[in-house]
Amino acid sequence: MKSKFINAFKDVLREQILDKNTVHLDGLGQFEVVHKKQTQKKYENGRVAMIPPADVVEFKSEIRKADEDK
Amino acid sequence: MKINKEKLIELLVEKTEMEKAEVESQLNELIKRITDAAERGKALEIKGFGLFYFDESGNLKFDPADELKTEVNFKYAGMKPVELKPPRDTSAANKEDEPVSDDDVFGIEDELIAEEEGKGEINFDEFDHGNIDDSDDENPFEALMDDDESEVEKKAEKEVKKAGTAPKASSKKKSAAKDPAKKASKKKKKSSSTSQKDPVMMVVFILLGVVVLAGGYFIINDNFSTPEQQGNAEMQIQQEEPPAVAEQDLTAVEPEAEDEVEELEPVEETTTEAPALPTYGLYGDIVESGNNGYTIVLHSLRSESHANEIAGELKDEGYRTMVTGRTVDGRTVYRVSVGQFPSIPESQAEAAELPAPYNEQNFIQRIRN
Repeated sequence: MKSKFINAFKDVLREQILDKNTVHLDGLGQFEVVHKKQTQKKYENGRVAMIPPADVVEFKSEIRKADEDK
Repeated sequence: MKINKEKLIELLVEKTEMEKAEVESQLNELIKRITDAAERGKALEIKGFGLFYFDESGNLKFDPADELKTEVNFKYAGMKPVELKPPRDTSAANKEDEPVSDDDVFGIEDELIAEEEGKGEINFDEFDHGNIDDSDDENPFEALMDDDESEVEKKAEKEVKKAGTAPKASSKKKSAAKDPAKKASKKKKKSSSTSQKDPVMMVVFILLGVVVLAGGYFIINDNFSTPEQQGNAEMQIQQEEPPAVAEQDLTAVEPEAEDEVEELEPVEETTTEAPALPTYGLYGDIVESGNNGYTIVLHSLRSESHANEIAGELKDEGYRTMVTGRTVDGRTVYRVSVGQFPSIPESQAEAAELPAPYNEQNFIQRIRN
């Protein structure tokens, strides 16, 4: 596999993801940016922390391990 | 906007200038490699993009690289979880009135104890969205989470855990651990006591400043006045009465002054020589080698001419300016950005220093060639 292609693949996907575009690859899955709202998290000791919001890359797989399908 | 495989191939053809069929086969081969590696229980990493692997439940997973994570999450970079204050219990409130002991005036001991306690249960690393810790600009949490306070809160929390698990700890540790609120109030007390000392400290600082300035003045005088000049000055004082001699002295001094200027000139020349522009920075011209970094986007416009016009104005103000076209939701926008920086934190730090409204209305983007 050509490194030129790998680099281009990486750059193009990164650009599209950063532009908040959803990238769907048949046979692999879908990449998209998802916004996570800020949330409160309660700990066992009663303490509460506010988790800040975040934009994260989410990957929805289209394939499963072969032996898992059986 | 959704990019499907066909569209992605088009973009890859455009990027690589390879044949479409070749790009297609390369893409299929890549997908096959990812799945094959994952099937064999191995992970396949594309450096700078991410890692593909099968999780325990047999699903293909993707972990984005830190670089990508940070870029995607640039808006919230550096934000950390904020602990919400628990309601104060009365026992803690009573203890607030205790005086601060003399042997721990600066609270260092408490902090050291807290540091020795080890990790608390809250895993703060889990919420670390990237490796940017010192960039709190544009941070909606900023008002809530002053770094020092959050440190205190973390430490206090660790101490609470220590108190819970080891009730036979020393009394000092106990009192420090009983309530973070108390610790916080201690801090406040300390700060108020230091504020009472402020006038004394101010006077001391002013005196120190005067001494330093006086010292500096004498050192400069020693360095810049030649012995001849000093001699001339002495002669002037001694021979003040006969005006003719004094005039001679003045004329004698003038060439000296000129000499000094002459001596200084080469130094000025070296400083005023146009130095090579640094790779990164906010001002000057775009440097090619700085295009591997980040820039501060100030405008995102649909009209290229308008974008160029604004870019021109910013350039006239001395900024390194660039206009880049991006496709967002299927539409092309032209982003006007300033500066070239090696990292997002540095970009954010500079962005915060920009004049209003740019200091609040901006975002950081990676420079693309």
